[in-house]
Amino acid sequence: MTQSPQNVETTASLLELTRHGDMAARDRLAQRYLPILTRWARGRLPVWARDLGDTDDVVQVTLMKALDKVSGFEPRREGAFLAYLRMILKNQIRDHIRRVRRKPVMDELDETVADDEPSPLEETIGREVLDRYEAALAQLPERHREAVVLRIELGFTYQQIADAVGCPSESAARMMVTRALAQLAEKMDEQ
Amino acid sequence: MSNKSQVKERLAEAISDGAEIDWDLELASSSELEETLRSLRAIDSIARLFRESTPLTSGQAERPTSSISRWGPLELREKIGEGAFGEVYRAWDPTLQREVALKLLHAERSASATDTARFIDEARKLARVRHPNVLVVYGADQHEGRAGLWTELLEGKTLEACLADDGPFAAHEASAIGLNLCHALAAVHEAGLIHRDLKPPNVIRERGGRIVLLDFSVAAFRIGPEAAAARFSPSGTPLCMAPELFRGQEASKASDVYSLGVLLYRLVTGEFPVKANSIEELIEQHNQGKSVPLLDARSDLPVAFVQVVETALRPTPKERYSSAGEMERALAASLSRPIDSEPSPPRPRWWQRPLLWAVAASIALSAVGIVVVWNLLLSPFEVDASLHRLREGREVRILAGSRIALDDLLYLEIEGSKPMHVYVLNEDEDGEVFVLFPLPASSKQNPLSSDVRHRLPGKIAGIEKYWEVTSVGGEESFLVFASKRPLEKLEQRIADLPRTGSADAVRVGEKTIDLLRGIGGLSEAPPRDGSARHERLSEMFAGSAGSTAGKSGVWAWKIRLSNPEQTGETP
Repeated sequence: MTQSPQNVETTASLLELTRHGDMAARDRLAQRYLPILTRWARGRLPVWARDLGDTDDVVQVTLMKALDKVSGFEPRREGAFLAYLRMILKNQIRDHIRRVRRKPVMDELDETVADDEPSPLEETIGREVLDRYEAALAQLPERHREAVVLRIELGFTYQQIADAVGCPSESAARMMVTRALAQLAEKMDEQ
Repeated sequence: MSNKSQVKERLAEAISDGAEIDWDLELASSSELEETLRSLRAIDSIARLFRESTPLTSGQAERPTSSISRWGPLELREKIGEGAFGEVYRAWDPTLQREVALKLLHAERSASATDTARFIDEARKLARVRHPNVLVVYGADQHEGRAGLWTELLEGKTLEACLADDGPFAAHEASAIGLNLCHALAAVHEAGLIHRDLKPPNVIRERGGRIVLLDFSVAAFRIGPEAAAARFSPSGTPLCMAPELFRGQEASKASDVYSLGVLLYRLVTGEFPVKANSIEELIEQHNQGKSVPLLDARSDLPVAFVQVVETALRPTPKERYSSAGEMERALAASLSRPIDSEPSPPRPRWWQRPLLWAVAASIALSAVGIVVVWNLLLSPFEVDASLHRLREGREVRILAGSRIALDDLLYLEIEGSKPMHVYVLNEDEDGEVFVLFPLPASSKQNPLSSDVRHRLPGKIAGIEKYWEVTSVGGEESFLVFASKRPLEKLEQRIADLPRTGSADAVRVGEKTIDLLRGIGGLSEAPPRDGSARHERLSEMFAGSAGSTAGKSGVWAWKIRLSNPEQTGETP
């Protein structure tokens, strides 16, 4: 298949350029992901820590860190890069919550205790279910995990998912997401 | 495939597609799958929550449904608006690698060949209008049975939203916006078009202050009394429409001028000149010539401004300004006349408290944090700036520590090796920070072009403006930032700020400072500790007082001036 002009600048190619120090490519990568990740982060931060500025900053810092380390990252697929970004953003948010939370004593005592005030996500489904979701997600095969994150959490279209995880078509991507979700639910049951 | 697997896959598919699922019903009919169904339901909740997360842009944005994820060459990212004509999406143009706003005509309207043809034809004409105060139209086409128009994507608030958030505008600011809109209308008229729907919700004040006239899809259709009646709302189109349009006359330049008059009336009062709760009542009010004189709605307005608005609002088209240009001239003249009846707006007092200056600077610093990193390895960005004083007709360049006095007029000259966004800050006696530049009405707008010596604050209504020294005492400082990229947080705060009535500066209230100060708590931003902040500032100034932004990509310059209490000869 020949590459259409629209697809010339794939994330993989931008990552490759960024790895070689192309700052313009780095900027474009950042522009591409900043809104997506900001939206994602808003569901993950407790309301009190979800001021627009806060969210922006956590996401920007994360993206900067990720892009700083990009030379050590093998840009196999966009999906893999986003899954990686999601992971470090999740960690950053956890750190951020610890840093700005109103009861600073707690995290000194127990590193594993999450913040006291739930994020919207925790509020909706409960911390226990969310933990099971995360654990099950971690057990999925890599591409399935990426497909779930892209579709469910980042709202990618099926065509975008096909491009990001290397599926031959839009319908194949849809099928992959569907199967991955069924698998995810089963794994959650096993937790 | 087993029945259980089929149920799971069907539900997984529905979750993925964002379809509505009746979980109670599903649980009741497949009780043997209870555990898995509960897990699927949790996944569905997670998906929904992420779909509903508020995006960066303001307004009621939502992700496109899976049935519309692409339109022609554009990828739809999220819905950012909806109207009688159709929907607006934030979309991605993969060919040109940029985000755009895409307006899609409703499917049912797209089904009408006449509507579609008119929509596309008018959109094409509008694409010819090239003006900084008019939304840039990139193109129009029809795909998958839906007509669409794509334009530049704006980040900011409509004037209606500004009004709702901050209350009525000062006359001076409304005039400045009016001038921009006169220019915009002149460009629309020059292209042989009539806007037909000029009103506060159709004008956006972008971050950074640019005023942009939009909503051309409505302009593409004639609004007769019937259509107006169908969508009458107390804040809607009919109240901005010229009276002759209700008598069946064609829309004209004069009816656009009338609408601009209504817009200005509304900006300064929050009201409409002719009040009505229904289309019949509105027509009746027009027929009887009933309207509330602007001065009765707000008595502290400058007479010159009132005269301009009242002239635009005359019931007979011939008595109004004959063109947007004529109205612009009158507005500009009203601005240059002494403000006879408007109480003096609060003006920035000069800086007196070093600690608060540090806060002001840290605001800008934390706002630039991201920019600093993005620009780390880019080529050097050279900036040269000088501050000048005009006193008794003599212009002199002033150096750090120079004395200035009451009524001195100051201006800044600045030149960069790259196009740049410039911000000039100052603080008043109450410790509040003022933004002296950018100014929405100024002829100089960010980004400033490279290799040109710009004079700030620039011209307003064709007249060169200065920053005026309006108070005395202590020391005063200017803090100038130049950046290749917009300092978005600062710009956003400027766009969101309450207006004080000052024509010369935008006031940054304490609340804003607190908000911005909070950003300093993040690891990559300047630390909260005051001494560390000072250290960092002094480092920055030590390195930048010369002329280059070096690696940081943000150039900063602080100049302190002395402004002693006693008057008299200064060196």
